[in-house]
This record gives sequence, structure tokens and C-alpha cells, in this order.
Amino acid sequence: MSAAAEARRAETARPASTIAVRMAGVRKAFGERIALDGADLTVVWGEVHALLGENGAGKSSLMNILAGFYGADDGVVEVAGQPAAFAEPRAASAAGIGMIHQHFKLVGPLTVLENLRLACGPRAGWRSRDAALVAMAGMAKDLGFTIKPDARVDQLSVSEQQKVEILKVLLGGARILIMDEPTAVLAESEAAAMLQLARRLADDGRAVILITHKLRDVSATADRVTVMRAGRTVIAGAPARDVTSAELARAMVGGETDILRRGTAGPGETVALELRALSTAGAEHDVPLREISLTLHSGEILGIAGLGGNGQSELLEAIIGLRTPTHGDILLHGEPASAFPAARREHGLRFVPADRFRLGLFGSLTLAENLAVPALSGRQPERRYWVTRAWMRGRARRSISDYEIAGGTADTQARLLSGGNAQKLILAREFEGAFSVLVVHSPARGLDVRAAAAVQNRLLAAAARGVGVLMISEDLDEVLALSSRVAVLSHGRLSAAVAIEQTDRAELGRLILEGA
Amino acid sequence: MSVLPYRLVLSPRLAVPRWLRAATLVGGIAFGLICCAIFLIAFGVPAGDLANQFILYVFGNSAGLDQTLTRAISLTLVALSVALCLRIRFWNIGVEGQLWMGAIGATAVSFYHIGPWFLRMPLMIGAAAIGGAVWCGIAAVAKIRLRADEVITTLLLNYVAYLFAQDLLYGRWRNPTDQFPVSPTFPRYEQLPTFGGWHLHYGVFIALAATAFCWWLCRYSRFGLLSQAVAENRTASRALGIPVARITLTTACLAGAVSGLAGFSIVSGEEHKLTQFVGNDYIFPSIAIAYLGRANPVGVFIAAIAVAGLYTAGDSLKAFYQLPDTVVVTMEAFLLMTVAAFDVFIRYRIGLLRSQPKAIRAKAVPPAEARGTGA
Amino acid sequence: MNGFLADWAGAVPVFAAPFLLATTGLIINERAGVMNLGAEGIMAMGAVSAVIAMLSGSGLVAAILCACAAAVAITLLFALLAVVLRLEQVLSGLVIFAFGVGLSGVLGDSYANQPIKALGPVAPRIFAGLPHWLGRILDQDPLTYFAFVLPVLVWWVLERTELGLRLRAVGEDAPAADAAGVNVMRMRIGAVLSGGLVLGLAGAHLSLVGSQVWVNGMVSGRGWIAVALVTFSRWNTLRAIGAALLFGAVQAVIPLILSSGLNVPIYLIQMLPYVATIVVLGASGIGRTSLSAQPEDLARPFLREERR
Repeated sequence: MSAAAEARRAETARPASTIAVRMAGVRKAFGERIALDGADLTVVWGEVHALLGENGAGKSSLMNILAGFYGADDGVVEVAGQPAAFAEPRAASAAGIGMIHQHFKLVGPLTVLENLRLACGPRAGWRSRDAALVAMAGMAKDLGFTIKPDARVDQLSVSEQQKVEILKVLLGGARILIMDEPTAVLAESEAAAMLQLARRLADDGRAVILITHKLRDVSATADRVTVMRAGRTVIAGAPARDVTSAELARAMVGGETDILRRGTAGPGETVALELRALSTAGAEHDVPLREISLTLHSGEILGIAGLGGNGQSELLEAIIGLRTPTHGDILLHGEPASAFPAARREHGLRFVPADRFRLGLFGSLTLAENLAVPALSGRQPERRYWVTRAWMRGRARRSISDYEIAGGTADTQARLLSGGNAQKLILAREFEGAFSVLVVHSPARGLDVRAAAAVQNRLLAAAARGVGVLMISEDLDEVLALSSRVAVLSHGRLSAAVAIEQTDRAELGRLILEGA
Repeated sequence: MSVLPYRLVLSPRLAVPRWLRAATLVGGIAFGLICCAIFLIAFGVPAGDLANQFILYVFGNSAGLDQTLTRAISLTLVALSVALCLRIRFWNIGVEGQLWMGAIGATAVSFYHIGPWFLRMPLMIGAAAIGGAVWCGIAAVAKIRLRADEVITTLLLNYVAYLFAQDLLYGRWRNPTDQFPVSPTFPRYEQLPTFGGWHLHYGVFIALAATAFCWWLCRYSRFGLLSQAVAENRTASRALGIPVARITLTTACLAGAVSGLAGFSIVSGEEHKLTQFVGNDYIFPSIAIAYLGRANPVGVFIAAIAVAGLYTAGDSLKAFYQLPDTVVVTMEAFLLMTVAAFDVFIRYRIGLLRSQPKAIRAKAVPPAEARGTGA
Repeated sequence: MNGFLADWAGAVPVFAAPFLLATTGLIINERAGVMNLGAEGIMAMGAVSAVIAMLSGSGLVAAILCACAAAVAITLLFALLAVVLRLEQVLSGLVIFAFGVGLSGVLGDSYANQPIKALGPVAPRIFAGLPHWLGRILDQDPLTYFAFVLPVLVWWVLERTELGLRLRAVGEDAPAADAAGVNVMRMRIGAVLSGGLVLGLAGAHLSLVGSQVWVNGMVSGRGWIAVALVTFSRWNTLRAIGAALLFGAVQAVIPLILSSGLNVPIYLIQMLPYVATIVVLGASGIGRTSLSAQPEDLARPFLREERR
């Protein structure tokens, strides 16, 4: 690592330039919403610096400004002692800043090598495809990666894609690395390896900024930690070993939070939903489901654990009727489910998708309209020929107060809601009327602690009322906290469900990684 | 790398105040009219005459008003058709073909003497609606079943319908008395009555009824909300039990039927026979009117009258200054272009940012830019 | 009947060339993620400008350059609407369609229906030794030759060069391309303008080689058919050659049938290309393969500041 050695030399020669990044008083607003309200961050060469905060605290916004994706409205940004306000990402990468995004910025239909050539070809000065190939092979060997250069990126697994991202950033000559929740999508052992890699890259003399909301990542890897809350810095660069987890948690959340009620509803006798050897075809980039069988009883929460991209969305879509199975049966209350989503809904099936705006809400419709859609769409709509705004608003006001939806009135467009409130809106809509089966997918994804607890409590309450809840979640902690039984989804196959008392984190982790 | 000292930065607006919507529309139309004026002056129309052409001849005398309102009937109907389809994000560029099929349907009823004389008019209306509905329905089915882009299918069906009509006019339906390529003139009971000595005919009531119906459909029926949901997100709509395919097909057929009615109104109210030029030049005006009227039926009605006025003005321009037919469509394009371009103010906040250094190594960093008040 | 077939075969390249040029131009656009429905209008502008230049006494080369310049000028307007202002691309395309058709009618009004001395075959003598029908196919004008070379050239640039890689990346995933340091807006504007230039050539071919006269509305849907041919050829310029030949063959047979004196319904025969396009478009939807070749960010405006 000659670049790293240079950095080391520079460091010893000029102690003043040990600071890699200095950001102070950074502000950024998106329309009326203030994302950053005077955030500070200082990172020195050779450290892993954890940037901690709840969702929406402004971590990603701050880093997007550093990496040139957004412009700051106000504040100081210095890189290696020089003022820097990057107008574009490539200006930032030319200055040695590389960001590994949570949602990878790779061009899916292109190959690995094409992606690398695209991102670093001009800078690395590769004259030919072969030059790129040699450089890639060298770097991959150095980091211990094995990736086929001619594979299409959208056909790689998530962890492989992450490795391509890292190769891309390093081959582009990055000396300041920003990793946005790198462990969020990885299995536990993969996550540990990723943190070790971060450590090693920092030891080589780079500066590594680790965005995370997992306290465990901080204690395992970071040298120093900065905590953000509501767009401001609340702990600025404290040595990681000097702060306790409790202190960090309090700084992140601010004040007391409702602790999740760890209730586990016992399974009832009646079967609410049954899947028999359900299989789907894998079109384009989807994961095919392979002979999935499960039985969901009334009044229980059946947790489906597993890493994202192993068939979770496909399972939800198959159950609600968006995907036609190639074979196998879906039984609702013992009867074969209709082919039409509308009929399944009328039969008491409700769902909460992971991607709130793809499957859940209509962004440009108002809250009132979103809430009214299912009431108008079935075979027995509440109203047909005289749907008034007043009627919709009236219904909406009830739901808004019952579900404590903040940040909007009945006439606000749904896309203006924050993640937590959007999720509450979906719950308000789905929980309306009588229902008996609920399928949820990562219900607390992207929510802060308080909002997550509110949503999870709703699920527990529904189960207590006798609803069968199938909870597909990519967060093992959530599965362990809420489910009465648990099964693991891996590569489109589902393991047999076991009672939560008869298993533990290690056993589930093994199933998640290796499959049933 | 960017040479300009400033660059344009767009950021999406979250909430749009009502005054801004109105101001944008007015600004867009005003700017479009200025463009049209410059364009006409460039082609030899004296600047002083423009006001005359646009106001006096269009609305100032009864002949102009008559012509404008008559034209507005068919324009309203075809634009409603486009507007209905826009609600489900279905681009209906085929109103001309649907209008032709409506005209052919109505003429067929007349030509083959279907039904007794007193039922003839309702039958013609029905046939016209069905003709249009089928023509648009084909494109909808192709979209639902085969994922064929409706922009292209509806557009190409225009040509097919036009050629079909020509085939009939030069073949079976050719007027036997003088061998002109027109159908025999309709008897009196197949003609829509006119108002006094005007050309304006009772087709006005069809246009008004269609506007009112579409307004109710979009504002008060459950279709209004569900179509918006389908337009916004098809997958989510399907998941929530909205019959997406049925709504798409119904809307398309309804829209086709409305265009078909325009065909009926022309053959029965204006021409009193099927001619070669019944369905010419409706594609772009229908889109322009639907867009200018913000896809709202009442707005469409108003915009249709305004654009019809443009045609009346165009006719006098053609007569006085020998400008070709396409001058009107060019003016419409100017108008739609500026109105659509002005919409950028509704959708985005626009700012000018100073172009910033590409790399920190560049020494020429304006310190005032990097150090704000936070320092 | 040999004469008929030879006539037909000889006419196919001339009828196919405008389709091929237009489809190639549109593929350049669409691979960069921009759907340009204004093709019909841009071709009309190209066609009328070439004729005006010829009738004003300039040479063939100047006429072709005029066509390109006019096409690029109107495409610039499209780029402003669709790429810079991020208007809906369908709407922007329709505006350009109407603007091009309207303006070409106004500009060409006093030049309409005046025949021009047009572009003819290059060197009939070279092909003298070949069988008659083969000679007829191979003996074409320079613009037609160019039309068949260009797709190969464009294919090579798109698939084999750094520039092509960047252009494809912008069309497949603009935010990712942006993150990789590609200037998305510049790439898209460049693609739109070069596509527009080729569309102008297609228009020039129509008037200089095909009709050899300007008639208002003479593009008659070819621009739209080209839009459909992009899907049919799965965004691949090499496949576009086959697609264009097919449609050229359909189009070339019409005048032959009409002049053959056979008693056929002429208007129904003229429907052929339009009906064929609809059928082809429907058929490409049956297999999923062709649609999966569609650039993933097609017709999606790119705006970085937007929070995704």
C-alpha cells in the first residue's frame, strides 16, 4: 500500500495534517425538512471513526455532503486541511473520498469489470480491459476476495456486491472511506470479517468512517465515536473505549424510550394460513421460492428470519397474490386461496410490505385518500357513486389520532411523511375492519427506536386479539423479541418452524448462513 | 470541467402553494403567446394586425364565435378522451383514429338504414361510441396482455383507421350520384339541429354532457380515486385489490367512446356526410388541450374553447397571409412547450449555485463559499 | 415475375435505410436512458431542410448538412425540455413531434411539390458483371450505404469503447453512473443530440433519395415505426439492420403492387406497415426476453439532489 505509506510519512512529517476530515456547523434542508442543523465531525488518519445515530439523525446526509452527493447549505468542510465543497461525487472521489453506500451504487446490468472500469478507469489510467483486469486481480488478492470479473453485478449476492463496491473505491485511490452501515445486510460472520477489513484499511493509514446504528460494531472496531441526534452532533469524537453502551444509547435516543413489551402470544388451535410446498419461478432478478411449507395459527407470531434477498419479498408477494406459484397451495382458513389479491383481502388477509412506497402507499395521494383506497376497491365498496372529500377526511381523522400519525393532516401527501409515520399509516389502513391473517415484512426497518416499538406493539396486540401474524424480518433481534415460533428462509427454502424457547441466536445464525 | 461560473440546481418541491400553480400556468401561456407572436411576425404577419386576428376575428364577431364554438365541440370531446386516459397514465395519442371509427360507425348506421327513422340518431350515437371504444380498447388490450407501448399502438391505429375510411370512401360508400369520395348526404333526421342560422349545432349538448360526466367520474365516483391510485403505483394497486386491468380497459374504452362521439358530432352536425377530412389534425390539439386543462374536465372544456379560437385565428391568417395549415399546430406546440417548461417551477425549486472546485487540490477555492456562518 | 422480384429487392435497401437510420439514432438515445418520441418531427425537419437547401441551389453535401443542422437544432429543444428541465419524456417528445411536423409544414410550404435532382446510385458499372437482381441490391446511393455502415459503427462504440460503457451505464442506472463519476446530464445531452443528428439524416434520406420532393406530412408515421423498431430490435443496432430490412421490404412492396395494375384495395395495402408494426410490437411482448433488454433507467429523469 504505497498510498498508505505516503500518508503515514505525511503524517509524521507534518503533525498539523493528521486531520483527514473536519466538518463544522454543517446545515442542510430538504425543502421544509431540516436534515442537518449544525453537525460537526472530525476524523484523523489511521482511525476507524464510528458515526452513530438513529435513522433520520442525519448521518447519511452528512456523509453524502462529504462525498459530494449533496451540497451543504452552510458550514465548513475541510479535507486534509483544505477547504472542500464538492460540487459532484467525482470531485470528491478525485480528492480521495470513497463512499460505500448502503444501497450500492453499482450498475446492475453491467459486469463487475465494467463497473470498475466505469468508476476508476480514467483515474487509474487503464489503457485496456486487460490492464483493468490485472489491477482488479491484484487488489482482490490483496484483500482476499474472490469475484468473477465477467459476472453481471445484479446476479451477485449482497456481500459480493459489497466487495465490488470496496474494490471500486480502493482502486479509485480512496484514502478516506465512508462505509454506510456495511454490516446491516451481512450475516454475523461476514459482518465480523467486514469490520476486520475496516480495521485493516485504517491501520494502513486511511481514515475509515463507519456509519452504523449498532452499538456492537462500535465497541468491536472503532477508535473514536461521534453520535448524532436530530441533525446535530451530541457526542463529538469521544474515544470508543471511554464511553459505555448505555451512554451511547442515551445520546442516540435522547431521553427515555418505551421498552418493547416482550410478550409472546401463545398459538391458538385454528390454522389461519397454510402453505403447502409453494414454489415460484425466478424471473429476472428474483429469488425463486422452493417448496415452502408452513402453518400459521391464529393468535401467534411466526417469525421468518434470514438475510435480505433470500426470497423474503417473493414470499410476501406470493402470499398476497401478486405472484402466481408454479406449484403448491396457499390455504386461507383451510380453503384454497383465490387467485385474486382482492378476494384474499376480503377473506381477511392483510399485509405490511418492507418497501413502504413500492407496495404500500401512494406517495402523491393524501393520507385520507390512501386510507380510503381499500375501502373503495373491493367487491363491496363502502361507497360507489358519491365519494366526497368530507367522507374521506372524516375517516382519516379517526385513524390519524388512533395511530398517532404525526407530521401531516388528512390532506397531506403521503410522500411527505417520515418513515415511521408512513409505517403507521400503512398499519392504520391495514388494521381497519376485521382481519385474521397479517403478513409483515421488516416492519421496523428504518424506524427509530420509539417508532419501531410502537409498530411492534401493534403486532403483539393484533396477535393477542387472535390474528395470525407472519413476520418476515431481516433483523434477528426483532424475530427473537416478538415471535413465538421461528423458521429461517435461506436461498428460497424455509426451515421447519421451531418454538422460540427451543432455539438460540447461534443455532439460527447457522441456519441463516448455511440453510436448512 | 463546467465552463459556466454558475450552474442550475433543481431540488424537488414538497408542497406547492396554489398561487404558484396559477402563476405558472398564466406565465407559461403568456410566454407561449409571445413566442407565437414572434413566430407569426417572422412569417410576415404585421405586428399591428395580431391583436385583430386573435381577438376580433375569433370572439368579436358572430361568424368567428360560431366557428370557434363549433370547433370547440369536437376539440372538447377528443381532449376529454386524452384527459381520461392521462388519469391512469395511459397515453392516448389515437384520438384521430377513434374519431374516424366513430364517424364510420355513425355513417354505417345511416348508410345501411339500420333501425326506424326515429331511432336512427341514438343508434348512430351508440355506433360511434362503440367504434371509438373498440379502437382504443385494442391498444389497451395490447398493453395489458402484451405490454405493447400504448403510445405507439394508439398512434399507428390512427393511420389504420384513416386508411380504412379512405378505402370505404373510394369503394363501397362512394357517392353514387357524383362519384366524389364522400358518403351520401344524411337525411334531415340524421342531422344534429343547428342554432338559428349558425353552424353551431346541438353537439354542444353532447360536449357539455360528456364534460359533466367526466367531471363527476373524476371527482365523485370511486373510479376517480382508484384511477389515481393505479396511475401512481400499479403494483401497490394490485396488491390492495384494485382491478388494475379492468380499470385500464374500462378507462380506455370510455375514452375511445368519447372520441367516437366527436366523430359523430362532426359527421352529423357539421358535414352531414362522411368526408375525407373528417378526422384530420386532432392528435396534438387533443393532447395540448388536455394538458393545458390540467387533465381536469372543466379545465379541458375551457382550454378547448381557447384552442378553438386559435384555429379560427389560424383560418383568417391562412386567408390573409397565405400561411399553411400547419401554422396552428406549430402555435399549439409553442404553447404546450412553454406551459410544460414553466411547470418546472411547480416541481422544483430552482437555484443558481456557484460552480465549485472539482478537487481540493485546486487552489482557487473561494473561501467565502466554503466558510459559512457556521465557522 | 423475375422482374418484379428484382425491382422489389432493389428497392428494399432504399426503403429500409430511413428506418435503419432512425432506429439507430433512437437506440443511441434510449441506451442513454432518454426516450425521444419526437422522432417523427425531427425527421420531418431533416427532410424539409434538405429539400429547401437543394431548391435554393446548394449541393447535395450542403443539403445533408442542412438537414443535420436543422435536426440538431430542434433536438436541442428536446434536450432542454427532457434532460435539463426533466419534464416527462413522453410529453417532451410529443411536443417536439408536433413542433417538427408543424414547423416543417410552415417552412416547406413554398417549396412543396417541387421535384429536386436527387441522390442517385454511385457507380452502376462496378456491379455490371453480377446477376441482375444482385446488382440492383448492391447499387445504391452513398447515404444508403452509410445507413448500413452506421449501425455497425454505433454497435462497436456502444459495446467496445469506454464512451459506450459510460453511455450504457447512464441508461441502465443513472444514479450509479453518477456516483462512478460520469456526468449524466452531459452524457444524455450528447446522446440525444447525436441521435437527433442521425434522425436528421434519416429525414434527409426520405426526401433526397426516397421521394425526391417535399410533401407536407411525407414522413407519414415512419418516425413512430422506428420507435417501435427499437423495441423490436432489442436496443441492439445490429438487430436493427434486420428489423429495418423487414420493414423496408414491406414498404417497398406497396408501390410495386400499386403500379402493377392489379385490382387490389390500395388503401388496405397501405395499412401494411402500420399493422405490421403493431403485430411486431405485440409479438415482442410475448417473450419476456426482449423487454428485459430495455435499459432500466429508460425515460426516468435523473436528479441527484433528490433523496432516494
